[in-house]
Amino acid sequence: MKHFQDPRLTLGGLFLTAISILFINTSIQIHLLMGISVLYLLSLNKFREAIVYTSIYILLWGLIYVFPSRFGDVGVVIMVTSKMMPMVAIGTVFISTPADAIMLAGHKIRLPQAIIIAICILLRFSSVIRQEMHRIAQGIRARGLLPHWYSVILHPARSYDCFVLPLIIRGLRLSTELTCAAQFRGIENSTSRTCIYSIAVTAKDLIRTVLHGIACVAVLWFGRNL
Amino acid sequence: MIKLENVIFQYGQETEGSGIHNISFHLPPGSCTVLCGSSGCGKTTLLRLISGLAPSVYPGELSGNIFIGGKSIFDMTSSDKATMIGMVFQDPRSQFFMPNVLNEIAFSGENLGLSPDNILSKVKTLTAQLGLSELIDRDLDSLSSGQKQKVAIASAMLLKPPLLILDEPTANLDSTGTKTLIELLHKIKQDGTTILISEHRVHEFLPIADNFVCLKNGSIAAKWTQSEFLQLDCQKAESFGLRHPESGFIDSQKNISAAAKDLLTIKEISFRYSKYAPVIEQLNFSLHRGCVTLITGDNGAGKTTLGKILCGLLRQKNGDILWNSEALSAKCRRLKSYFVMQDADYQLYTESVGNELVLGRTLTNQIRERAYAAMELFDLTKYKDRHPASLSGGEKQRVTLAAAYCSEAELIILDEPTSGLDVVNAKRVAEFIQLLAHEDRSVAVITHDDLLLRLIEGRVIKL
Amino acid sequence: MLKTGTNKWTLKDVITLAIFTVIIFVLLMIVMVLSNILLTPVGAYFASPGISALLAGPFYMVMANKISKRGVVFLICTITGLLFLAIGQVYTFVIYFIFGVIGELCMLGQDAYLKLFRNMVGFLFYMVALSAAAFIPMILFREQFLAWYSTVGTEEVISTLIQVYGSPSGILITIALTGAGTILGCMIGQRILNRHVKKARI
Repeated sequence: MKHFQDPRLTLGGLFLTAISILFINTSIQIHLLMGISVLYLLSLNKFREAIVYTSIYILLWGLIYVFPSRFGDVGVVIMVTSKMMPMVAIGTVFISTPADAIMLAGHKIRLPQAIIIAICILLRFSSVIRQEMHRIAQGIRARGLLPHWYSVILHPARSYDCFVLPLIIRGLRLSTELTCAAQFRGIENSTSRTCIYSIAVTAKDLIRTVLHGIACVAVLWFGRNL
Repeated sequence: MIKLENVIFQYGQETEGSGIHNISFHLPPGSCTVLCGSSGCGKTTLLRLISGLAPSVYPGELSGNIFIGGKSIFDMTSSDKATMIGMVFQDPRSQFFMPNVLNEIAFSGENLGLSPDNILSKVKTLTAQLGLSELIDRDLDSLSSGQKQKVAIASAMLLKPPLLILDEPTANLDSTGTKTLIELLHKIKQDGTTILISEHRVHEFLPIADNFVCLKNGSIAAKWTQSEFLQLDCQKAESFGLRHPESGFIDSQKNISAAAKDLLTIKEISFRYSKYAPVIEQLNFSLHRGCVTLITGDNGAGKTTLGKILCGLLRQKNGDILWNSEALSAKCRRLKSYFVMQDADYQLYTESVGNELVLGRTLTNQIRERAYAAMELFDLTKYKDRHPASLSGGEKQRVTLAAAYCSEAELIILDEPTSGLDVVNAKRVAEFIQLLAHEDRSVAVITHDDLLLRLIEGRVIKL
Repeated sequence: MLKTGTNKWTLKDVITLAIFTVIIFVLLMIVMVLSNILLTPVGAYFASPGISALLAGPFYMVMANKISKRGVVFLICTITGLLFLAIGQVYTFVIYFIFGVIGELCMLGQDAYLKLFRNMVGFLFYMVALSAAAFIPMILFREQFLAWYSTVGTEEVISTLIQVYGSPSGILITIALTGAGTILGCMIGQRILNRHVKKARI
């Protein structure tokens, strides 16, 4: 059985990082927190994500150091974003956890069944809704209603109606159809739930979580005077 | 297995649809029954009642009793339904809850708390039985319609429910996909599962169906055994609103007039439908003015992609497309074309049929007259003030065809216009398609529907 | 179409809420990305909640009308917060959760979700939470934030930061723009409900 880290542990790590970020006051501390997040990713074999986030982080900080005042408003956003990066990196772990594992974790902490069902739909339908929007856009072009890219600016009300109404109708139809399908999948059962993946806490998970916690606290405590 | 006693049902105010007027019948365990009838006969409603979707999801007034395996459908909990009934719907997009095949098939077991080893063992057995083992790690979005259909059936069968219900399962399948489906259902039936299918393409199920129940206006109009149904001739079948293998044969030759001018010339184009599909190469053909061209082929052959390339919604990888013998960019082709999508919901934007036909045009007398003429021709006059979304599937299809008629497009492409339609509505659509071509326009129809291929005079391009 | 009596959520209500929340969230993301490109990032901070509200208003109105039960605002806020949590935005999740509770308290009373004005209030809490996720931490942890930013940014950048995220005028501008978008979006949503959803009996 394939194993994933219990989403509750991941969330714990995420919250701890978020709280640490609130209380840091030097740039070295944020670099250390980012380093901790990258090590966290590496310990979960997420090598590609570790490289991507490290590269983005270095790029952002490169911009800050090399061009400290050139970017104006954008500089504000670059700084704000760079501060969020350690959290965003750990968020990747959470979002790559399979939906059924997240649902099992939710069941274990006695989340309301409505939220567990909603989590399942959210994770599945984000991509479906994007496909629906694409089909609606194709439908508009196929009928020749907004033939040019600037037609949206020339006819804002029509553009609005042509996009919003089909999406509302599709949303309502999808809701009904999905409800019908859900009736036969036992989705409303709240007495017991399992998952084909294991989210049992392993020694590795425990060590990772404890080390992550210690590292964050250490950065806050010892890093404050750096 | 299924027992209905004096069932009467009328939808509430919020739902459109025909009711059921006092139906009683009994389906024995292990049998396969096909519900059939023309559009609006009540077969969808009956299916909803048997599966418990009405009145829970589709509110209405119900009287009578419905028993599944000796238990009243109204006394069943969510878990009971999951273990007693497997249901497969027409549209695969809205019945999957997980992103990949393995998780989707395992989902019901996880919801009911079965042990992971038990679930994985069941999944392994099921995927081997249904020929899905190679697809187990694939994303659902990358699968073809036929493959998605198989996954939907596997997901429904994980808990080995004694009853499997399928709602128009062949609507999105080609002939190969339909044959595969029949073989699959045959295996499931051999395991003792009772199967109930609602369908228009009824004859495809002759190899496995034990009974055929035909509905009309909410009541049972006829019941046939397999051998009795085989005896039905074309005229008799069509009188019940059923498709027949001989429906639609016309005596006249399918000749294109030598004087028909080329509108679109396709030279050596190549394209690919998706990452997993083969490349279509060196395609050469022409679309003529005043003629209908039928583009056919199996699911996944690239018919819809070709249609979108022809009208400029997509670009081909190589090759040329000439318009009136001159090169024309995809964008310019798009301005002269009209593509009617399979699902009309994506192309209806206004609150009345009348407004829908003139949408996007400055309202002059000429355009108003044309809209009225279109409503007359496509039999929509009585729906002039109706909201398009409140119409049935066939009626919505007519609205999109009428809108195409009202447009100034020289090339009109229709994607599966008869999907899910009964024989009467399919014949009407075929007439309307011929109408569209009569004004010196070129009409291309993408279809895998054999009935439509027989009904329309036109060239056939097979991918 | 008055619904009285039961506040018990059905499976259909939950699924409708989830689907429409996803639609609204995807719209929020698209507007955020596009407005960051077309307006300046600071302009995007001020304008994108209002623009999002204009686009998302009809979806909220249809959903609220269809479900019409206690808990819509709380759940849409919580679920959106969870979506932000999934991409690592912890503060946004906490703010959405809190705004969800307050917004739901404002929706107490019978048939609140069938009334235009009450829905505007509920939806306003949802949309303001988006920018509140930026300005509330700035207000509550001002000293720490300024201390950190001053080690990396110039004075010019710091003053922009304070002006945008930490000043009363900055906060009022973003709330006002969001409010305008919410009012318009909900009004258009009501029109769509009357002309389309109810007429077509979907």
